[in-house]
Amino acid sequence: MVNFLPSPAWFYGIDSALEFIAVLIAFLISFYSFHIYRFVGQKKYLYFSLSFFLMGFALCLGAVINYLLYFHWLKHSALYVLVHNYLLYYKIGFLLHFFLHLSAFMILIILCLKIEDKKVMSLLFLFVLLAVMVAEQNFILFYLISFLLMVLYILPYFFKNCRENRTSNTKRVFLAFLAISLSQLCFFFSLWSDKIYAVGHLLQLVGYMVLLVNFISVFRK
Amino acid sequence: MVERRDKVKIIYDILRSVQEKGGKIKPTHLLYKSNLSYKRMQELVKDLMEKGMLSEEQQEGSKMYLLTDKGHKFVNEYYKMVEFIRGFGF
Repeated sequence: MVNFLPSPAWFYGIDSALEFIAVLIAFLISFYSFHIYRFVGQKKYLYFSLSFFLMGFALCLGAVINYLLYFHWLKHSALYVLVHNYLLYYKIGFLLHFFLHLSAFMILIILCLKIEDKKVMSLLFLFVLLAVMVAEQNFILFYLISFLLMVLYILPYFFKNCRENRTSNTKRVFLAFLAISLSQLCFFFSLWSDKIYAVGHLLQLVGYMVLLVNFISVFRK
Repeated sequence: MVERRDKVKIIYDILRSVQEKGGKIKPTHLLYKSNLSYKRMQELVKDLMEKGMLSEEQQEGSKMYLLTDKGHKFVNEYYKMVEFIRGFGF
């Protein structure tokens, strides 16, 4: 996530580091899904790969912006505040991060709900654009929207899959997405307490780490 | 009730049939082993040849399908792929 929110001082830079770990995991899953797509040729694996690629790219962008904000722009704040450029970069970066993250979730929703109608898909991406416009007015709403998208559309699918196929893999995938969903809720509430912001980052990392454990377990067998 | 095979499983069955025959198989044997209609088998074989997992050769006057290195790799990786995919339910 991009830090326009109050982060505890001791957490400066740690959030970027945690996000970079998540970026690597997201790219790893994206790469392997693309590998499956190249073998099988089914588009759903390409979309799945694209979804994780966008997630990774969005997280990477967020981590870079946070890092620059803490360790570059803030040190030279007098100059940057004077020209007001940093606010513009910050806002553009955040909106791009927001667009990429929501697009990634939307592709997952298309896969989970097995949507094939191109008109419905375009409608969903129109929603992404509208959500970005709403977030441009109030950044915090992004986290509420992404939390709702996950809880209402993505999590129920993984829960159903978990119940129908009771394997450790399906359970891990569900738990990972549960943790990522809760992290979005924490970011939403982080305006009220900076500690919640740190908890959100830790939950997000836990989610991606569980996905990594799942990935490793598949290859260890 | 017979379980419907998805495309990934059908591809695996085709390539596995070739592997079990020592890496090369006659079209008639493949048709029998893959449990597909002739038309469907032809479509998939063409697809697999385009993807570089199968190749075609004339041996002693008859057509043979040969499993390529990429095809061998797919057969060996199949269960890992399926397990990864099933974790997400796709």
